[in-house]
Amino acid sequence: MNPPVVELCAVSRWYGNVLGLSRVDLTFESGVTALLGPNGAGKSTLLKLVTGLLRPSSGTVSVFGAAPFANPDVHRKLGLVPEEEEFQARVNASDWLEYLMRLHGFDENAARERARKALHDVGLESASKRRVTSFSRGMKQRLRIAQAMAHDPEILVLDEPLTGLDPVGRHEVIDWIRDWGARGKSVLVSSHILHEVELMTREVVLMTAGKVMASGNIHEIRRLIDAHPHHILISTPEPRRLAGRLLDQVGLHSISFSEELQQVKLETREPDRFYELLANYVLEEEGTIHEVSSPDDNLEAVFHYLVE
Amino acid sequence: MPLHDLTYQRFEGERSSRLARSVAMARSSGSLLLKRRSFLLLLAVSWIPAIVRGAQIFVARKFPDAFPFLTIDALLWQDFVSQQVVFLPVLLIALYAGASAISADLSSGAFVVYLSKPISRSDYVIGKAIPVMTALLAVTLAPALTLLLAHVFLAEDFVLFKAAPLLPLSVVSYSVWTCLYFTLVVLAVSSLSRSPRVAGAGFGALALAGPIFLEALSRLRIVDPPAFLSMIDATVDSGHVFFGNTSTGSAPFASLAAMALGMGISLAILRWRLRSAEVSS
Repeated sequence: MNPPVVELCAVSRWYGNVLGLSRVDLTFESGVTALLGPNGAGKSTLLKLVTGLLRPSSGTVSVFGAAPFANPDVHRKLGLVPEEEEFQARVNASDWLEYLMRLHGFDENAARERARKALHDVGLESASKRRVTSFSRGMKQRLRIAQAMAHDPEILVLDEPLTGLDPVGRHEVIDWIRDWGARGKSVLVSSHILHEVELMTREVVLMTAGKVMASGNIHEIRRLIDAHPHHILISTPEPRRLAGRLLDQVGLHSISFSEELQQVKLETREPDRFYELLANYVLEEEGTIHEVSSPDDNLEAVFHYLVE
Repeated sequence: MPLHDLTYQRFEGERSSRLARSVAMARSSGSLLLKRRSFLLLLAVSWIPAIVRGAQIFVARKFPDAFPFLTIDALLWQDFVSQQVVFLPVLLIALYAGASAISADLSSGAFVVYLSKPISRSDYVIGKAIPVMTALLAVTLAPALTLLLAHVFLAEDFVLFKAAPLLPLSVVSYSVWTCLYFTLVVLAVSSLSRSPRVAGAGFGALALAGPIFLEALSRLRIVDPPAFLSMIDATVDSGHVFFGNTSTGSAPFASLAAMALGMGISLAILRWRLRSAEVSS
């Protein structure tokens, strides 16, 4: 059996007396995984450990079965978009990328071609001969992404990749990330902007204060939170009838309806059983439902519950 | 849910040698240096002593009666390389090319990107050292060998090489030793600061404090000041070892040992800063 792409076993990391990461056990496979958490949650520390920029204080980190710290064999398969500035001064975008591709072992022609293609892909081809110091924040972010993707890595690690991008740029980057994951690559992306992460992936790791609170599919995580009932909103032309039908169901925590808004709001501890019941209502009792939505089936709500 | 392509995707780049990785890094740093006019001007000015020496050799060879005081022997080449250290070209080139070499990467964050690429920390240091070393050799070894070549063309005999058959080797080894010393020290100082200016000031202070200290000791007549306490004086003094004049000088072997120690400390600092000290912003 192949080892996971990335594996962290009981990993802790201290910065002097400050605990950056506390006994983290995680594995990452192919596809997009998002690290979510507030500032100081330990997301960047975790990404630096995975990319071999930091050594764990205790525990082990392995990428493709090897320790990544100061390991060029691992770095060959990695692409990193760091959070900070990272350009050599006085260099233009094309030369910078070409130079980094040379460090990856590509010959001069291949390096030039990959640099050109990467700049084209991120929409910087027309600025390829401009000094990077004259770039706007958004252009610098595109260049960071270009340098991480240009050598076609197996693992792409992006630390807050949407920072500094305009709305169009954000959508483009989200599309690239999803596309990268769809190609079977592993993508680790950190963010604290929840709704943007939802557009990239449903696989998340929720972190706070250096600890992993939950990991997995966002719906699975939601199911784990039994202490909090699911909020469900139903649009129907017959809210009174539907509310009456649901009233005596097991697991129902609360219910209210509005004839004016033509909707029923309810909270249930057994969402699966509720959805089954709703299907029967439509099929067997010929009830009419326009829309069913779960306002808290999103990262914002899950994160809120877990931090509470 | 997208279907993932799970077939093995082969890395298309080659696993390059350490030399290739370091040269790629050195080429980038070197080309940036050569684009700076002020650096080219400094290189050109650093060749003025060589031009003056060349003219002296030419006149002394063509008109020996007019310049009887210029003795063309191995000492002339030792003095020339030493002069390049004493009269600052070596110091200024090291300062210009080396002080910002690592500190600029640390301050800009480029260091993070380099370490995420398939290069080791050693490759990084070698890649940074090559342009500094090359620039220093361009103002020491290159003019010294040019003078030697000029002498070969102008001389009508081989008296010089009969008296000092190992002269070319002495010139090469003394120049390389000197340049390696200054390269390692300036890179070590550069790695200690995130500010190129602070690193430059630190290296300048380190290099110039020695001669000032020795001068102060000399004036106070407390002790006979040993040359190995100063970077510049130790370098000049160690030249006697390479040219076989160990009977002269302050304590040339002590100076040589002090320089070796300085290089060892510099390597230890580089190792500490670039390997043990990780990227924790």
